Amino acid sequence: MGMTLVEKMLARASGKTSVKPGDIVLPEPELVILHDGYVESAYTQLHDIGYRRVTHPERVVFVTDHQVVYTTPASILRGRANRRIAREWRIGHFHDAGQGGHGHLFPMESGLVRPGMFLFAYDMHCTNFGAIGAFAMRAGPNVVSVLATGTTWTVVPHTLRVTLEGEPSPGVHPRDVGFWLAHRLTSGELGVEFDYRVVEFGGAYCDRLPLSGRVALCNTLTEIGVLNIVFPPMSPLGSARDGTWLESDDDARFEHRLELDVTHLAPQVALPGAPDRAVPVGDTVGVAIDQAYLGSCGSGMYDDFQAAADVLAGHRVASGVRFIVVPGTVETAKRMARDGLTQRFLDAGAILLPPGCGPCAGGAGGPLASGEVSISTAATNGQGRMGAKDAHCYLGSPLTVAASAIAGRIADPRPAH
Amino acid sequence: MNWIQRGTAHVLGHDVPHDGAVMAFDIVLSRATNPAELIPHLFAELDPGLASRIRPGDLIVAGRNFLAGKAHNAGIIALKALGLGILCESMSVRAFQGVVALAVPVLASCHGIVEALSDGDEIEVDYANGTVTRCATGEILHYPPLAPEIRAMVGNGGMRGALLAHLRARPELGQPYAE
Repeated sequence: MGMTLVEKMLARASGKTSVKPGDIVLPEPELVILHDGYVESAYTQLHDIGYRRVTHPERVVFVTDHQVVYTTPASILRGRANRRIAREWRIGHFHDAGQGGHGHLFPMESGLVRPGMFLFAYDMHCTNFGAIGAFAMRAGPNVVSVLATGTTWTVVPHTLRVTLEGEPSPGVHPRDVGFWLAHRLTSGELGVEFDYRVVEFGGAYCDRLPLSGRVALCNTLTEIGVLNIVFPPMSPLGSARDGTWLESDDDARFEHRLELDVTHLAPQVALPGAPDRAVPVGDTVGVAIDQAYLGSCGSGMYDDFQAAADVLAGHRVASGVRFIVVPGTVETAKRMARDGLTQRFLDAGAILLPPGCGPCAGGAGGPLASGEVSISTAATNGQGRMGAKDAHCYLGSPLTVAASAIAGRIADPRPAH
Repeated sequence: MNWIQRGTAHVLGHDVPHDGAVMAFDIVLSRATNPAELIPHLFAELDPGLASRIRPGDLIVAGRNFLAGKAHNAGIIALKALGLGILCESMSVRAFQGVVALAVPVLASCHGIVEALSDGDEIEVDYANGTVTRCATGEILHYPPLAPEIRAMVGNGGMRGALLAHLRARPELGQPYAE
């Protein structure tokens, strides 16, 4: 019996020739990634029980994306503590504020995370790395164990093979496909289990997607509780496949195989509460907004900003709307400046924030007041995610967010609308 | 560690979430980790009278998907501090990892146990053999036992125990680098 891509990566990282779903394994990661919000907590837990070093500091990556600009006295102290801890532990890859950008994006651009790599990360949205065929497992609080011992135990997941065919109309973006698929999975209409499953994508639609589109799909499905999302390996530079990269065997044990057609899909909007509360954009068109926000680990790549800028097409942001634009990475911000995208956003009246998570990390740099309405490309939209608990956070694609920013209300980005 | 536990079964239903049932969400958000602060809130939103019926060492019996939702652990800290065990029909892998990390003894594949037991039953659990005995009748229920490698982790004190053992084996990790 063959193995899936993820089973092969977990077997290799665990020093085994084969694994199957349900096996308990101790995979050794090539990298361990923590963001600026958890470094100090991990350090304190280990320091309190006597640790003064971590096992493989050369594999550890600290990224700074949650609080890039210090807006409170506590955040200044946190930044200082993170710098001290990186020095004290001799961390191999320390990316301070202003260096790299979003930790779920820049490691793919820089080549730090590579196709076929197994790694652990604190944060659940590390699933982004599935876009290039890497497997990053969310360790959560168990990341402390990875730092101390070099690994933590985990259970080999089942894999769900999802084949996407067809080509949706212009104005429909991979984020829309992600919202729609998340809804179809959690509503039960596809009749498959998804909790702790890996979704492996394939099919003609996926084969045509650029890296940003793959990232959009990986990111959007993460919040519903799948363990991970993977695509066949892809170089971030788009070069041909290397023969040594792993792929699922033809006779791999997929728990289910789903074939879906995206041809007639409309742009989707996720209602406040969760990314899987998706409805066709038409159901929400006309809802007045106070803020639009473009960025986050789900929509923070160059293509996303280019597509949104094309929707702006010289229009200005509606009066009374704050349009916040957050490039995912320093490289993306530089390219946007070089190619004139930054100019187009500023001409439209957008507010540019430094590379990182932006308002998705608890409202940093763009919080919402009580009762305010926003539409954004954030990774998630739970109650209180971007400021006041009773603010209303809708999610849409970069195209829908840009169209809404200039309309001052939720708008359909398709050319005929 | 003693893998046999005797106590009262407190029988809950299916899909009992951590947030909002085992522990109130605002307590979770407070990031409290001190058991003394958490214990008064245990199960308060599920059944306000339950906490007063629980004695240290009792067994929480739940249906499918116990500790549903986000894998938070404030409630598990309180369960551990009270020496409670968990018998459930199923729980997610993430929830199971949290339970093992906090060294709470658990049988997580007890199919049909919610129907088989009544709230308040006196029971004896053998985690190593996967048996649950109703003390009043002597009836023995059989379930998959706790896997040996998981039992070892729970027996060694969960994640904290494993980290202390690792530090004993690698004492240099307790030495700071020379400046």
